[in-house]
Amino acid sequence: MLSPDFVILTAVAYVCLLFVVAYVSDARASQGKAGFLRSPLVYTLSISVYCTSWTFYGAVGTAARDGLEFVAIYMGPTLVFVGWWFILRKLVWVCHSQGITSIADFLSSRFGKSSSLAVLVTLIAMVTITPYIALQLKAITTSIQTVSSARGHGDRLAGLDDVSLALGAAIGMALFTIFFGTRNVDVREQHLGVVAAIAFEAAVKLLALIAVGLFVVFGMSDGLGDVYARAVEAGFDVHEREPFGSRWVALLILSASAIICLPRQFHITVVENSNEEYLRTAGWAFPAYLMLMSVFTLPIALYGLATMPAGSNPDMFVLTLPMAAGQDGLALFAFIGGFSSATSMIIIASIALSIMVSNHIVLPLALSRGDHMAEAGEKGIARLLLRSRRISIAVILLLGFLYFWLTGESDALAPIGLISFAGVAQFLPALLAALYWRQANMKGALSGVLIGAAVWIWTMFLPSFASTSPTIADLVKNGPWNITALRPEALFGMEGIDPLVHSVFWSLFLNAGALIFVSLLTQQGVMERVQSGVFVDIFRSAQGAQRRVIRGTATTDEIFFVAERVLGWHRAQSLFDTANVPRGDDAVGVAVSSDFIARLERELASSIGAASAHVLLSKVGADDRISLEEVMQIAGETQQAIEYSHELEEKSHELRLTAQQLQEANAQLHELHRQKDDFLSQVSHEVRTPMTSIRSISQILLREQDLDQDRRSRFVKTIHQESARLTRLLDGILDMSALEHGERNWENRPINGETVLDRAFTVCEALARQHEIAVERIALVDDVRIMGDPDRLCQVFINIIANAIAHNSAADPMVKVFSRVENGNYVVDIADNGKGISMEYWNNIFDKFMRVQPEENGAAVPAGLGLGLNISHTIIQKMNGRLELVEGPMRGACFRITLSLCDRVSA
Amino acid sequence: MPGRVPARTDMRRRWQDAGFVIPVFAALLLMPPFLNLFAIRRLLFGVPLEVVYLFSIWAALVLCAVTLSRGLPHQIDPAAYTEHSGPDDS
Repeated sequence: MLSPDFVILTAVAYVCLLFVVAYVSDARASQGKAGFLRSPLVYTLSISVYCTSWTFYGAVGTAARDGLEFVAIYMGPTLVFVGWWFILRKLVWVCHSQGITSIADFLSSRFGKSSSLAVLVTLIAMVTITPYIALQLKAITTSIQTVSSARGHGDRLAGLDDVSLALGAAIGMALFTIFFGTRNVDVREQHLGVVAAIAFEAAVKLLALIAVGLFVVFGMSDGLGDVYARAVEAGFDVHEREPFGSRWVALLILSASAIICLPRQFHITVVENSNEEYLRTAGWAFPAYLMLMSVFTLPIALYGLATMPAGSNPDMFVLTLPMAAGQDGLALFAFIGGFSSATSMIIIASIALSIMVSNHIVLPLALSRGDHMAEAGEKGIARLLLRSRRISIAVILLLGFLYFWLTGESDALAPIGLISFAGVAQFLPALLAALYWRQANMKGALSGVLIGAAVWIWTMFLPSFASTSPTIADLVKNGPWNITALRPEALFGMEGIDPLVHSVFWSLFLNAGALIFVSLLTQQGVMERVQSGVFVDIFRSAQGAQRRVIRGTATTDEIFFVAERVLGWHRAQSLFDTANVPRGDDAVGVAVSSDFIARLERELASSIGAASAHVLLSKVGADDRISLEEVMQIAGETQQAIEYSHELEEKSHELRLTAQQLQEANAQLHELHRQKDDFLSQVSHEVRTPMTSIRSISQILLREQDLDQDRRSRFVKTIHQESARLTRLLDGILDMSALEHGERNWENRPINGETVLDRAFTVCEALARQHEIAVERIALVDDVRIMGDPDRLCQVFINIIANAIAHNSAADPMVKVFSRVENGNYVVDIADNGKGISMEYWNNIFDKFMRVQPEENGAAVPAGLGLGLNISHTIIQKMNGRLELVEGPMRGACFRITLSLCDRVSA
Repeated sequence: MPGRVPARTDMRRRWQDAGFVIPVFAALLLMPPFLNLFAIRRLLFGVPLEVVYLFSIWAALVLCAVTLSRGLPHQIDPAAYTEHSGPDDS
């Protein structure tokens, strides 16, 4: 067993080693020998600050309790890093080009350098991360107590309780962070020493966990299968108890967003990144690291469950298993691993938070207090920042300690890992919109983050105190003022799902919804439009808009004064010299180009954040409204050019469409033209036949005077017949054209169909007698109201009945007319027992000039005009009815007229 | 050699598409409907099948990521992505 003295001193020695690592790295870096320190390997290892003590110890505990759930915590980041080309690469590029210092700075800078957004994000980060730091402190104290549990009565340090241990850890971390994290306000907010120490710690914790894993799997058992077999033997279920469901998905989403949105992850992945290409390595190396970290988690958990006495804390299996086997050295190594994961999280989280607090809360307050600038000497603002950062770090760690102290023995800290993941996930919609959605604006981002955070506090953060506070427990159970719809874990009656899923769903849904709708409903400011272009189009525009020369109103001296206060005289001087900006007496009347101002603003922003840098320069009038309008104008010109080309594209598309339509119309015209030609040639042909016979016969009559009376009168009769035929033809054509072009005012009125049919039948009876044909009328109805023109309808009936009579060559000719009502229609069938109409004519019997050729010549019937059926067809169509040829009851043809009944009383 | 440029652009696009599709597809493989196909209370080499499945996908993802890291286009400057590349002022 290890004595508390020994354990605590080891921890202190380890922290001293970290100091050395950091110090040496910083020293090498300042000599320009950073080399290995700025390598993809160190970068990747430092990203693994993601694995805190919550994952080092807690993953085994989670695995013991909930099976594979812990894998989701690593799987989300794995997916994000494998897809580095899409989100992370763009994020890193944007942040480098804009000198972004934190996630608050990123969102504020994108959304018009808004200070309020920066403050909001900083506050949310404080609320989410402070308990997380407390959790790390708790892990440190618990692990010290576990690893040194039994003996050590004689030790002097054994008297230390939890609280003093945590306080000691907090002070140690504060010292380290202040010493290495705030040495200077760096150009790019990079801390090589700290990163080196974090990378070192990352290696230590990985090796520690793997060592314990190998020891458990191969030292104490006989391989993986044996571990599982033993667990089964001991009566544990090694399989997933429930199918993977919404909680698994929610965890994937949370962990994927945490790897980007956690302030410490944003800091280490984006801000501390010195070369975008390192992502290429981190893209596979970080997932591999995560996989190695978790490969032994399940075996350790199961082995612990199977061998340790019931009731032992599975969160501490990593320590207790080697101890139980008497491997004190391994236990100490594991303890150092856990200590590493806790301290690295504390260090980076407090640096990231302190940057946010000092840049977005302290500095704006100091600037608004008026003439601070005049009092402060060289680098005055930088000094102010450093001081505020040191104080922030101390305050953050103090808050973490207080949180730990106040929650004490309660288990309120246990679920804080996921709670803080869900808290920072509220930045995700705004962050994605910042990178990909040009129209997203400040009001949208602000309301989204605000609503999301409020819902998160209500549905997740608050209920986490339910076990310690009866008031909150009651609130969770009954809702505020007994309003059940507002119960934190069953919002709007959404009950029966996992509280985590419930909270993640509502907070992200309302967050994204607010972001989208408010952005769509409100306008972007001028600054927001500029920034949205720079962020969204980082790979497209290469900041073209900022390169133009715009005149501001500030003199160079005034601007230099500002630069000196932040960057110091030397850097300001070199910046001005490189850009060839004159100062002093030479500079009277010289205006500073906006290009230079923009560059200076970025330089300042990389130290004090975009919002503050903007405020600072605006104060001296270096970036006043007018110049901004000019920026917009120029940006607008580019935009216009793009829009113009879009318009052109659309126009040409329209033109193509129009051309196509024209082509179609042309084709239609051609078709109509052809039909007209056909019609004309048919008509002329029809007219020509009688004309020819009239002409030739009249010629004979003129030339041959000695024709006998008989022949002469026959010829005259033919002329008469032919001219009558001509007249009928012309009448028909006129009739048809009138029908087709609707020149006549067609009026359908209610009529009695039977009356009309009777009238037509009477007319035709005479004709039938003349042809000696039997006609029969079979009426199954006597009063039918239909809509139509009675005369026209009569014309159709007569036409068809007359046709049936005239073209019937049967031995015992007969025509039958049936009329009935069927399915709400008035149906008239006119059938005969003639030869019928052969199939070849069925399709075009209603066409113009279509005549059925008599099969044997010498039929007594004169050929028809070929217009009657066509006209009938048109008329019936005008009455909204149908005229068709159907299979008749007799062997001849049968025409069917179908007209729909009307409700009104007949006239 | 005008023929080579489109071929290279084409390869670059393929790599970029792969860089997008692989994590998305992997996410689908790691989501419930698929994942539950393997949570069938069966052992493979003495290890639950769902564990083997998850870690195999994970390992495959790491391998894919290694390949992607080699294949995805290198870049020096965002301006290189546009047709006109100007001097970088930062």
